Amino acid sequence: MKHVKIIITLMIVVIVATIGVSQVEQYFRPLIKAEAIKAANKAKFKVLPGLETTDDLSPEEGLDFGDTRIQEVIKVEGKGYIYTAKFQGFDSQIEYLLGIDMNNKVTGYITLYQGDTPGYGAQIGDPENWEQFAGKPLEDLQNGDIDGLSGATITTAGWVSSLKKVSEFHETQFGDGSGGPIETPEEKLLRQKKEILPEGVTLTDYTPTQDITGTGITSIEVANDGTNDVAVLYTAEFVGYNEDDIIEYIISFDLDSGNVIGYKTLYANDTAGLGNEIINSDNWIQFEGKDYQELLDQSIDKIAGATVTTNAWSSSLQKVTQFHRQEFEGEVILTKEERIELAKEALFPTGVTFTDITESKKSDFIVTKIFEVKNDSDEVIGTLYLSTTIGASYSEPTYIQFLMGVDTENNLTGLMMVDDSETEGRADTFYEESYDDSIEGSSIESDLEIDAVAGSTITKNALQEAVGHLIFYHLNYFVERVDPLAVDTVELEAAYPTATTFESVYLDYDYNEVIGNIYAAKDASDAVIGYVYYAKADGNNDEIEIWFTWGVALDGTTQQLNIVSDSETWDGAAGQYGTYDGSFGTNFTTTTWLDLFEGVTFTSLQSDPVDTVSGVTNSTGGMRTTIDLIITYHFEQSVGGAN
Amino acid sequence: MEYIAIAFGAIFVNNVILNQFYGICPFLGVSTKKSSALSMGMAVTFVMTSSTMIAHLLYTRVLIPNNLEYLSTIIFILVIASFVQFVEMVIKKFSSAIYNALGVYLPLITTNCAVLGVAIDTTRNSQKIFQTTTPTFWQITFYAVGISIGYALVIFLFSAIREEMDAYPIKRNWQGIPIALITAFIMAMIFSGFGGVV
Amino acid sequence: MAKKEITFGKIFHDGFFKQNPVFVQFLGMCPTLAVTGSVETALGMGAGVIFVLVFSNLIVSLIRNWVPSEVRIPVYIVIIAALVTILETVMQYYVLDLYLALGTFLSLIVVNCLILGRAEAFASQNNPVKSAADGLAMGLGFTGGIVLLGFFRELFGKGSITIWGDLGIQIIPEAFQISIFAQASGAFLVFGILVAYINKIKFRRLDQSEVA
Repeated sequence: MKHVKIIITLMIVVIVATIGVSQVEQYFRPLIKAEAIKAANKAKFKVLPGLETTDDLSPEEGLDFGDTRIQEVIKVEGKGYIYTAKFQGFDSQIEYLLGIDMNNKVTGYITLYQGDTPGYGAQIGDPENWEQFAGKPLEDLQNGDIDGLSGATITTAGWVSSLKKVSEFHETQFGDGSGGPIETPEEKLLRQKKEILPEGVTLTDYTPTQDITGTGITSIEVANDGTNDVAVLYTAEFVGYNEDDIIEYIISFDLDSGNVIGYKTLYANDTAGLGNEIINSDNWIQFEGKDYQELLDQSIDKIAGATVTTNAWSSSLQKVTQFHRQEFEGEVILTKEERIELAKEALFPTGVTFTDITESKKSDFIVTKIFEVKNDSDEVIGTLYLSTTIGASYSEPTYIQFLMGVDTENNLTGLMMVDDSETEGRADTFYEESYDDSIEGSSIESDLEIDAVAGSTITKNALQEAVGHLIFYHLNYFVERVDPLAVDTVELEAAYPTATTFESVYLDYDYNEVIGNIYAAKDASDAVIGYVYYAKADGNNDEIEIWFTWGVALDGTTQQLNIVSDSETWDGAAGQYGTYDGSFGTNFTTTTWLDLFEGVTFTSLQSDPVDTVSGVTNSTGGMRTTIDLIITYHFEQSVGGAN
Repeated sequence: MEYIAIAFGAIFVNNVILNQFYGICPFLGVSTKKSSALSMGMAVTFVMTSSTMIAHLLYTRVLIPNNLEYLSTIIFILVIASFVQFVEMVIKKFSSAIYNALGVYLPLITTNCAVLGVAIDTTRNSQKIFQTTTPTFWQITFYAVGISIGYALVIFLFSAIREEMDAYPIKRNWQGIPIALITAFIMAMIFSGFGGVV
Repeated sequence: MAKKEITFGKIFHDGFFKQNPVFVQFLGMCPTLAVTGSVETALGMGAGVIFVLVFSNLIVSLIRNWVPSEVRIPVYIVIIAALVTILETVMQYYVLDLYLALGTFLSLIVVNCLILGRAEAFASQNNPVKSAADGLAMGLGFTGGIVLLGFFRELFGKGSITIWGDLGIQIIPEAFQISIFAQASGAFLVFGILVAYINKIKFRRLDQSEVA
């Protein structure tokens, strides 16, 4: 009996204790497990809020991640996706988690591992840089539209590219998240287009009547609301800072007001920090309802730090707007080239022809183009300069482009502004023809002062200085230049026997009436070894021209002096004057006097000139004059680097 | 080799008394004489090795399959208590010599935390000893043997020191437990040197 | 009742001083040495012991007249083991870090002689309220003892006292820390010195009372 009681007591105690323990256990165990799952997947719970401990967190299997470097994808039914991916940072492999919900919105981001250098990428571990992701549309990641890490270009680039790959992978793999059909690129494009068009319109391709070459426009579509055409949508492209890739955008114009409805950048692969921010929709908001005139004036908000891309962008938008105004609003908006053409004709009587002779004239830093103006009977009636000079703004370089006409009597036919990048309003008044009223028709040899314009003093001064410089150029350097005269290779070889080929280089240097041509003498390996001058000297009388070729090596040592053609008769000269003793021979072409110019140097010829020959001073003196001129020219023009 | 490493580590490096602080009460209480320390050491060695093996089998074959791991503390202490009781009965019946030597120490073993501690360490908390949650039976056996030998070794050495110490005058307030603790401190310092071996 | 009625005042005085489980009775020394590397783990262990001790005393006292004396020890052990298991489960959920830091020693409360000792020596002979009070007193005494030990070890070993992670005070500069105190072997040393010091006070009092 006693034993029974002992056993029963023990059994009861054990059973009660076990029941008590198991009750507590049953209550707490699920909670403990949940906590453990939470702790082990702490980061995952953070990037995908709404995740519960009962959710299956096993990675999806059988996915081909390609080159995305995605480590695993967890699909949580009805809640979203968690991606683990890696990329190369500045000096470490960075691993992160990205949560995406069923509506293609990012729910969170966490950097799991980074070993980057502080300042060069380690900021990626800073949760401050993760906050931007929650609620971001997946599209932003595809567009690379994320706030980079300041000062960490390389890591940012890797980051942006990795997120782009992950988001693209997600879109192709899981589409709209709910398992429904994936939005095709065409559908996406159409959706993007509709977002910047009025509701309920249909788009029809439009065939332009005008040439779209050079505008960057790739397609034009007209939006019809059922009864009327209400808007036009342009797809256009241009090249930004990254010269290897284009930036593509769409812009729509309201046909009623003429203003912009909306803008979207479709594609950009520009350099981060130097233009790729064009993909950020923050930069597009400015275009909503923007006045078309502002686009024509290239007046848009800049992308900070991306001057090159901003300029290309505003220029592209200007072209598209110009095209739109002409095509759909019947406006005539002239391009710069067209403005220049019109201005040219305004400066001279009608019916003249302009021939570009810039090539044959001395180059000058403000002379962009020089035109020879001829009337219908082919007589030269004047010269037209297209000048580009530095403008007035101090903050950044600007330019002013204008035309200046001068007639054959050296009178000013007028000034015309054609282009500028001056501060808004500063150069505008100069487009009106009034600014040279008081000096138009005046001789350029007198002091010319263009009309002052209130509020544009500095621009006016810049113009005034440019005009002064052009006048000086016209008076001093504008010399009719004939085409370089060709000469037989035989004559060149005679002047420079050691050279094998010759190439005319005269156009690289200033024109001189006496010099017919200058050739670079090259050896068999195509290296320049010297130069050959083809020049003329006055002979015994004004009717006579002595043409000769004369070689000079790079170091200034003269080669052969070879008479090409002459109507000179040394004999005659001797006979005529009777004082010549015949010591240098009797035929000028072969006279040994010419040998004195061979195998010496330009410098020695300058300091110790060859004497003229008494009895034939006209012919030898003419030669001497030309030879001295060649030497001076050679040094002044620094032919082949001579000095 | 692996088993030798486990046993060596259990005896010296992770010495159950000096490093893990299991079974301090009997360590201080029973170690005044070499003979009693030796007996205690032997009793512990036997009970600890056997009960660890039993606990391991129970844990892996019964508790885990039935999701009753949470009952392990209760089960283990019951197993140890029953086993000690059973051993006592067996010894008493078959060998009065052994019973006389060990008998009085056996009941003490029930509350020797080293026995329960090792049982729990080799089952629920095996991760920190074997770096795996599923150690093999032989790993556990070698570990248990090593731990028991370590226990017996230390308690015997300690009793030898304490016996010698009795011959010397010690200040009143340092007598007994305080000086024993200081001695244990010195021994623990010595044993900590084994940390570099494995 | 022939026995002198025990008062609550005496219960607490015994628990804290006269029969302090750590420094006087040397009960439950395994955790005393093992978990006193820091004040935080000592506090955690102390709280665990208080919980188990109060409830085991209470339960043991409630069933004291019903359990045959032959099986009282196994019954107590089962009760204690159940309480410890509950404690473990609860701690695992609410204070996981502490649970992991205490490790096996939490389970070893089962074989803490203090608990079985109080069940046997006090709860089995007193009413539930007093038994619970005794459990609380002894538990607090134990906690006080190990926290004191933990305080010295952490102070000298790490130079600072850190409680719950954020309450940290750096007291001793790094250069003057004695890391041996925080290590396993240091437990013996600090405990030994403290016991010797307490003995010194105890003997002085004893001497004084004899003189008086």
